[in-house]
Amino acid sequence: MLFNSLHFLAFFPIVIIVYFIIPHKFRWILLLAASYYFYMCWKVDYIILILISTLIDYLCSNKMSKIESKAKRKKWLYLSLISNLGILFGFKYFNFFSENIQLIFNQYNILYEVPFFNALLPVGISFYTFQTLSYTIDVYNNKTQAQKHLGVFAVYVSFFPQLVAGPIERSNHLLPQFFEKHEFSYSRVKSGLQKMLWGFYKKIVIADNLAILVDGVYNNIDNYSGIALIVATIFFTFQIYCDFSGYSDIAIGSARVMGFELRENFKRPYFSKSIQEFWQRWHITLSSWFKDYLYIPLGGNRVIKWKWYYNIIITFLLSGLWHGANWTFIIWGGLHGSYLILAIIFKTRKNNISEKIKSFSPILNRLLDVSITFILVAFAWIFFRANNLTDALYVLNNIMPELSEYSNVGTQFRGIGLYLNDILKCLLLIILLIGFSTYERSGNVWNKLQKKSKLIRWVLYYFLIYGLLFLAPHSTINNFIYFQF
Amino acid sequence: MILKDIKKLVIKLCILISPILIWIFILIQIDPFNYFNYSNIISKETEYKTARKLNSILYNTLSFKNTPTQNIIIGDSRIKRLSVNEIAKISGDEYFILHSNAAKLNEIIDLFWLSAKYSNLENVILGINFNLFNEYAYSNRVHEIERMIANPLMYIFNGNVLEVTTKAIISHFSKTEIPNISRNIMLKRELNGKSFKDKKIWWQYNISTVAKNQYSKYKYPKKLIPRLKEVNEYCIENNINLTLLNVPHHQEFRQRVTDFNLIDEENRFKEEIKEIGTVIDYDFPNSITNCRHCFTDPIHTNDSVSLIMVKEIFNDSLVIGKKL
Repeated sequence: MLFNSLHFLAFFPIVIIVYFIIPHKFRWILLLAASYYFYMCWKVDYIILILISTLIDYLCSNKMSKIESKAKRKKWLYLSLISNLGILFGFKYFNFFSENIQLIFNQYNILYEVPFFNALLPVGISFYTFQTLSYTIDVYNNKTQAQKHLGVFAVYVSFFPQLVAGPIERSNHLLPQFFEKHEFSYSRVKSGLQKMLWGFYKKIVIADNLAILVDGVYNNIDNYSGIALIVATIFFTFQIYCDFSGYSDIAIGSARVMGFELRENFKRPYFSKSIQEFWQRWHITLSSWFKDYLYIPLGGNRVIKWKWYYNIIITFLLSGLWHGANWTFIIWGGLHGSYLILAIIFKTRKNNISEKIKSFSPILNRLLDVSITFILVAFAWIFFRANNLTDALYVLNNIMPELSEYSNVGTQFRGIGLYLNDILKCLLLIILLIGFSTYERSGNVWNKLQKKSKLIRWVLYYFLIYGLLFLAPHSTINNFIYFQF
Repeated sequence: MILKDIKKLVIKLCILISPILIWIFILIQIDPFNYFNYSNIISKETEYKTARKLNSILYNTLSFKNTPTQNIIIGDSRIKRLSVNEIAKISGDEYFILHSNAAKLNEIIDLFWLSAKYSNLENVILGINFNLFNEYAYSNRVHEIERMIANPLMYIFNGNVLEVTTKAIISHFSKTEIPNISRNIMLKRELNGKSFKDKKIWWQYNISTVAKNQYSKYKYPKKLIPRLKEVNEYCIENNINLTLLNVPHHQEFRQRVTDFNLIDEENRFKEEIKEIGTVIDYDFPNSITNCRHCFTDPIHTNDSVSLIMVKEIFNDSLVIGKKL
């Protein structure tokens, strides 16, 4: 089920009404049923994968909790890791590895047909797998208690607001909330609905409008060059932010309506002054997962320099691979890792230059830092968005515009059926997003608006609802980009 | 306390959605595109001045859906002056002109399939010209219309329908024509502040800017010929007479094909459509293309030339035009 579908518009209020009507002790049953139904709307069979993950992790964690010796607990941890990562590998990476092995065989004229696995990628498999993995690792490390209540644990694995695209929760944050009794609270429901409203706007109005141009260009890449590729890449930079942070907002908002607080996933990432800061503001729950369960266990930065660089690059390459079984994602991750290593190497020189600029104008210094970070991030998105490596290389070879192109920007996108007016509409939406994010700098927008007059709040509600109803492109209902991961 | 909270939320949600309900009520009453085909509050004249003018593809498609005919002419604005009354007088057949401003060839094909859903077609004329035969000449409005027809919510919550309905209401009560402000601003900017109503300036704009937009970036549209062949196969299977009409352009506009080195591509286009079905061609050097007075602008013929074309085509006596 998509958040941006009429199906969800009917599903969500029903779940909420029933949730607050039934006694607290039965609510986990409702949440479990609703979550499984939510997932099965996409493909019924694949609920089995969630059930397998749930049962194995429940068993492993409870076995571990009864064993004192860490060494003896290890076998249960391995069982959990192997089964979860095995399912993930089988469904997500097996064909990618097969393809590459086949390529190597072909290169050396080895006549062997590598087997392929013909199955759809289960929606959100990377998200719930990582969520359950963090749980078993935490139980192994005695950072959290094993959950005795199988039903509640099953809800933790499959909680519908964040099941298919995060935020990736931690057991010690989310699990206890299932035992808290949530009463209906007007202010909390309002806050949740406000968050959902802005999330829907970002996804349906901004991301989906930008997607028309981005998909048009990137899916017919040979037809475009220069300025068209630049515009499409910049639009994608905002599209993916609105798409994914929109989803996160809807997830956090819908959970909040029921009384649950999920972790924030985005903190105005395009205002970051460095790549390091970007990763503290972009997909926070995933980057903190990689930090806690991969980067730090590898030694983090408390090792000799080359090992530190190795830890960074390995973490980012795997983060790229987490996103998708394609070299484009691996290169995207590798690029970000390289940015960070270069930032460490040139830290002193960069600081010296920054100091000089800062003494001249602190605002200019900040603007330069933000702009450079934005350009580096946008550049890396080329690999993320391109359909394959050939397309990404085509973009790199053809992205430099010719002077003559500037005079007819409006006609560049006729092949997609877009004209200057459509481009201007997209630009206005981006400006609105930047404006909203700037206002968000000093705190939650809705909390700030609470102190303003009612009129302003209601005008904003109607403005957002108007956009959702009348500015959304109706030609297709777009999936969330992160569903594929 | 909880009940008070619930009551407060319900009241606020009702206030929040009440304008939406009011909008649905108003739209069903006004309905400038006759989607629901239930109310006659606004006159046909107002509909023409607003809905048909601002979104001809939606207006004409819904008109055809509401009152389908077995004979149809589908194309862009260049076919709209072909007189259905004159055609009826000559052939005795009732035709519907399903035209859309700036329709692209892929949309014309989509419109054919859409119209085939609503009528047992007998005679079909598709207005297609070389300037539509380009990978970069693309638009995708018909799929949106199909989705709208299938789902009233798509129609009710459509930005363009909102704009047109508002203009129709204002026009109905003020008895004035509402200008297309965004189009006027855009044209004023492109014409350096000069009026597009000045024929000379408009003519020159078409020769310089419109032709450049259409011909400066060209790529052979490899999907279109197979799609036209599918249309032809369907027509053969269902005993539908299919004719492709290549309307005339003034020679100055035609010259732009040469300026952009597209003569070979144009010849290839004519050769390929010839293989698909009957093609009536007016877009070659002839007494119409040489005559400036025959055109309202370099690509639109005036009423009298359109009448000549109708007489030639429907009397089956081509004098100026020719079959390819």
